[in-house]
Amino acid sequence: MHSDPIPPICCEKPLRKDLNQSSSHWLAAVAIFLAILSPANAYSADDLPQAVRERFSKYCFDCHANGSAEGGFDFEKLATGQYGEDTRAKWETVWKNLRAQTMPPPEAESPSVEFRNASIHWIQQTVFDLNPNQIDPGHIVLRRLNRSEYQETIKLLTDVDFKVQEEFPADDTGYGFDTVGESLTLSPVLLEKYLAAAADIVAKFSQLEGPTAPEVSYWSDHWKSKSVDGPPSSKVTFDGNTQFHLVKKIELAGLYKFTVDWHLDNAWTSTKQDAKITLSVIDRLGKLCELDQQQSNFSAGPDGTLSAELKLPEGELHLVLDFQSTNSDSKTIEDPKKLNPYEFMLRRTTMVGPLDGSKMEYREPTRKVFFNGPPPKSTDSETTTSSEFQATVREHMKVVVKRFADLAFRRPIDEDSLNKLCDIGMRIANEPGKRYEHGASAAMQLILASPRFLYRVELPKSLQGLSQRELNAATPIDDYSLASRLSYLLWGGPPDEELTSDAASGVLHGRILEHFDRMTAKGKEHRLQRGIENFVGQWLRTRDVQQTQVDVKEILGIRDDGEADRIFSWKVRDAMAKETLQLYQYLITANRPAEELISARYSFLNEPLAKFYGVEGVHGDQMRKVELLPDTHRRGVLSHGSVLVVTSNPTRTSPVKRGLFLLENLLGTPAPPAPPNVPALEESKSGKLKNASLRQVLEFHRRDTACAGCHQRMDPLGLAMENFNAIGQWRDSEKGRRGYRGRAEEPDQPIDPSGKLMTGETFSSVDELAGILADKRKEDFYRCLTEKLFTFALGRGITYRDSIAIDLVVEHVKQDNGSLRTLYKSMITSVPFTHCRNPHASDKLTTH
Amino acid sequence: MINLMNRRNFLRASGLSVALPALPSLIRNSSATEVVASPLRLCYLYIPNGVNMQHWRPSGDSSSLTLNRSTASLDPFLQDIRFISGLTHQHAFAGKDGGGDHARANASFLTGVRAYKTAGSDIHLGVSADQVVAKKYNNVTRLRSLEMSCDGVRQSGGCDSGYACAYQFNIAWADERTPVAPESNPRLIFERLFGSGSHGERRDNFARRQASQLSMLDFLKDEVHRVNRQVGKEDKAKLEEYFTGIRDIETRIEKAEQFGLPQDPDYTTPAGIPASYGEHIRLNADVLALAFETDSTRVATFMFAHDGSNRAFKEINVGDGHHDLSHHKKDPERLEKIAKIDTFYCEQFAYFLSTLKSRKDSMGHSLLDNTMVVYGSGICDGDRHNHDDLPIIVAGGKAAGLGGGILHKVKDGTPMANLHVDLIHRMGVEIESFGDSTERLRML
Repeated sequence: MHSDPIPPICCEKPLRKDLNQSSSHWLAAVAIFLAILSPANAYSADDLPQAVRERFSKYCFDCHANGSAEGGFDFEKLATGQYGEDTRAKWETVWKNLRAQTMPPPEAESPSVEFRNASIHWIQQTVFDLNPNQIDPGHIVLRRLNRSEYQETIKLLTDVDFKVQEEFPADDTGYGFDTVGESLTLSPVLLEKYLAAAADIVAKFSQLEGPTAPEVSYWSDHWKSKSVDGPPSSKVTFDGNTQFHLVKKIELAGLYKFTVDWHLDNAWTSTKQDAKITLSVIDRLGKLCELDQQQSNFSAGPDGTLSAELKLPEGELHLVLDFQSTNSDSKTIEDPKKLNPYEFMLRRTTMVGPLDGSKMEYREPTRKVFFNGPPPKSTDSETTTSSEFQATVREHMKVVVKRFADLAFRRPIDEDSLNKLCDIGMRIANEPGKRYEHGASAAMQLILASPRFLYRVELPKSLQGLSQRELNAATPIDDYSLASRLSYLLWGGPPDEELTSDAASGVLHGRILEHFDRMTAKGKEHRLQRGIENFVGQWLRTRDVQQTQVDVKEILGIRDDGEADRIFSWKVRDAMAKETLQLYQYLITANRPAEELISARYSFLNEPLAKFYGVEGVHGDQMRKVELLPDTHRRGVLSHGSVLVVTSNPTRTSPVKRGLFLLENLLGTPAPPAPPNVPALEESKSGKLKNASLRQVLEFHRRDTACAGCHQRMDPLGLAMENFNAIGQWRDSEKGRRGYRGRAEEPDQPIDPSGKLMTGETFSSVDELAGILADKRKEDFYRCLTEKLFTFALGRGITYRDSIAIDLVVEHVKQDNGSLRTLYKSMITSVPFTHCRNPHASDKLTTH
Repeated sequence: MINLMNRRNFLRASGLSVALPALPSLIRNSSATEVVASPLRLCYLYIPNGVNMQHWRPSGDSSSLTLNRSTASLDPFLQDIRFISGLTHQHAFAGKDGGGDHARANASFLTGVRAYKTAGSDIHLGVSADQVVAKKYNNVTRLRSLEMSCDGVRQSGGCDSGYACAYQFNIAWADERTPVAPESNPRLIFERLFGSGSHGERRDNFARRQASQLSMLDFLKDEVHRVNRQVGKEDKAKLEEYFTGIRDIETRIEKAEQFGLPQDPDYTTPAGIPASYGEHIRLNADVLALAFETDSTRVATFMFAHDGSNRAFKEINVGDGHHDLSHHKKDPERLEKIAKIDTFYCEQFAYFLSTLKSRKDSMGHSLLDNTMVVYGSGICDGDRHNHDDLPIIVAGGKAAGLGGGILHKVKDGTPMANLHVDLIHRMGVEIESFGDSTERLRML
């Protein structure tokens, strides 16, 4: 166990030690960055008004001081503390507006980026009193497993695929994610469902009838054709004869039962094709002994089974299946001109035995949980009720229950609870008509209903030699908590053995980056995929692609339902979600810059999606990396069908939704909601705006200064994507509306994707916009992604108190050329991710 | 506290008592409060995004009622319904809170309270009218209340304009911080009421499930206490939810001693969520009617959809999203489509009324006469996002003295909470005020 006292919290420590692959300039830059953040210039109350005046008068005081208090806000009142209890909230508003670049307003003189950043830092240190040497980890409210996490946890624990989508209600989300403790409520109805689910799941993997004779199955590829050493084969057509051979070793002599399943492939209509199939065994003298025989033809098919019971000695078993064609006429009976050749194929071969009970075991999936097999049997000298025998069985049960509880609780179970569970288990096992398996599974059912399974309980690391009161305000979480944080973040499921074992030895904090490498390496793709689906699925909303309602006929102006379904099939939708998810996963595993999500000139496609996009040369349903040529118009996530579809209305695109989506999810500067009582967006197309393009309508809208501030930020982004229709296909013009009851038909409008960002950059196409976002605005993107990832990983909203931790991550990413891996590594070693507030030293934190 | 021996004896016995005749009549005689009259029920049906008033608003006065195009399907129930026009939810208006009319409309509909604007932490609203009543009937029926919706899937990411999703997906609230989440799968609602399996097996299954729950309670209570000792103050509040759930199950098992096993209606267990939206609503409505018929609960809420729903209506050839359409900007094509959706919703409402009307409760009285059904939306016109002049219909409740065939016009700006006060009163709960109510609305 851990014996060294943990040094006082210092955020750069784990980073220095672990980010070893990075170059030294990277660390130097971080050191300088930290120096900038040091709290040297804490103010005294007297200098504040002066400091505020110096810093903010040039850009802000015209509207917010000297008697004018636009929006009800006066900087001088703020500086002199006249807002009382609201002071901090007002400062937060200033800080947010500066960061989002919503203030000063566009029509006023704008400060330089340097000045803006310096002011942001000034507020963080001086006003918020944030100390880079004592970062507040914040409080994570106890998190219930959400549906996805529950399903994955059960799957890895028991191999049972529990249908959470059907059985549990949708989880409430907070801050855009379903991992937020405060939003993950547990209603009485849901608790009932959890209890019922525990019972259902346990029933699925427990073999309540007790162990059975060993059963082995072989898939058809175990059969060889022609001879024992012939090529693996399990198929034959009716115009020839053949023999299949299967050789297996029998370890225990006894009575065995065999079944061989066969199938007629391609047997659509009836023909005269017929064959005699004979299952035989070659005995010790080399003689063929017939076991079972059938005719294989249309009326006996398409599925059949040959079976036999046979006493076998120890040693080699050689089965032969003989296929003798008796009629090869493949003319179909209804239409003699048509040929329909069948194919005879072997499927599963199952061997059960010995059947005399000399060896009994559990089947899959019982074996996964009941890993130590059936309980010992009583010997002749003891009775099942003797205390020695009961103790032996109990010991056996304790082993299986402990392992199950340790995995389910994601930390070792205490001896006291374990004994209670075994008491209950043994009591049930000894009830009349009940068996050992009933008892053990009752204990497991309780484990799956326990709050320790349903919630992610996190504890502070116990630190020897220091009382809790002597510790810092932030204290490391214990290694098991850290293992779960990491594995639910990356894999969306419980920790594996490697994580648990390092947690048990108390070394996980120091080895977290090695684990990150391991967990994102080859061989773990499937688990990583799950974690990414949870995060990206909600961040970029790929989870919604399949169910977003669209009216393809209306969008494409076609009439046929079948054609609409063919063009925009579920396969296309499926591939759209995968495209985005796989690009993100690739950026992690291939150590690419995060901004390639926006600027990549490659993507992940399969044939249905490539066809849908008009990209040539992709064949088959398998997704693969494809280089994109300029004429495909595709570049990065702005051109992904997933994003384009989920930000559209069912019949048309919505530049406002798209613009808002980019602001919120890529640039991290969400527009505030529209002010009250403003007419809705994309306003009336009547009157002088008749026949106007959407762009013109939005331009008209922006003349209203109440709307301009936000729409100047949203609209250019959304309008740049107008070349993609509501299902994400390229188009050159916007389709005019059909006529309706005297309303004249509107002409098609050419699309003009050009525009200018609030920050000044101009672009003439969505491709150029992607380039700008991934270059000039990439720091905004790093910050946005970091904030989203923090929210998802910690399951809480991000506040100004997290800004130092987030700034640090962003700085690391910048220094390492945007590496997405670095972003993850920096985040998982950050104070908020690895620490919790010390429950006994909360007074040490400056609470505001 | 429940006497443990009693519970266990009861359940042991209940496993055997399946062959006995149903017990409700015996039970009812033993509870002194209601013996003769049929019990009264209350239920709220919610439709999202307002309506196209031009085709929805009826004409008439306190003694006559003429239906409009969108609500024509209510014609067979003309004498069972009353429209109330002029009701308002002032707390659904933006005020200082900016955008988020759908979240506020949804949240204030049954609470009359302004939703505290937050994306996740500190959600704060108020108890809803149905839950005020549910509290009173907690010990009278098997289930305290029933919450349904048709929103099985949800959009990922955030909800309406900075409001936590809880506001937009729940209309029933047990208290300021606790939404009572609706269930959308009719199979699960049915099984919760009557047990799983097919007709004839359900009582056994119900008893078995309850026995299984009972056997788990003691251990799980120890578990929650153990975790409670390990965690901090904020987390204890979270665990309280778990503990409440445990107590709830205990209460229900205790009730089962009183009520015996549920009835086993001769009705096929729904297979799950049907592909057609209309069928989904009707199937849920069937189960809701069954719940009332068997007196399993007295109070229910049913959201046809959450406010802001952007559902498309393929079955009536409206491919556009409802929310998108509701911003109609007076465009005639859009308005027409909205009217079609309004008609569709109203037809489902009419289906529910016809089901209630054709059924008798366990006392042999008309279910519709003994059920007060409120149908409506927290938004009037989806384009203006206004929350006054709300489209509201109250149906049934003749036994509670409600008249029919009426257009009841109230003074503009009358809080909808005034209607809640009246209904709560009629359900036998004496309260002076509720939400932002100013007085009790006397229904005609």
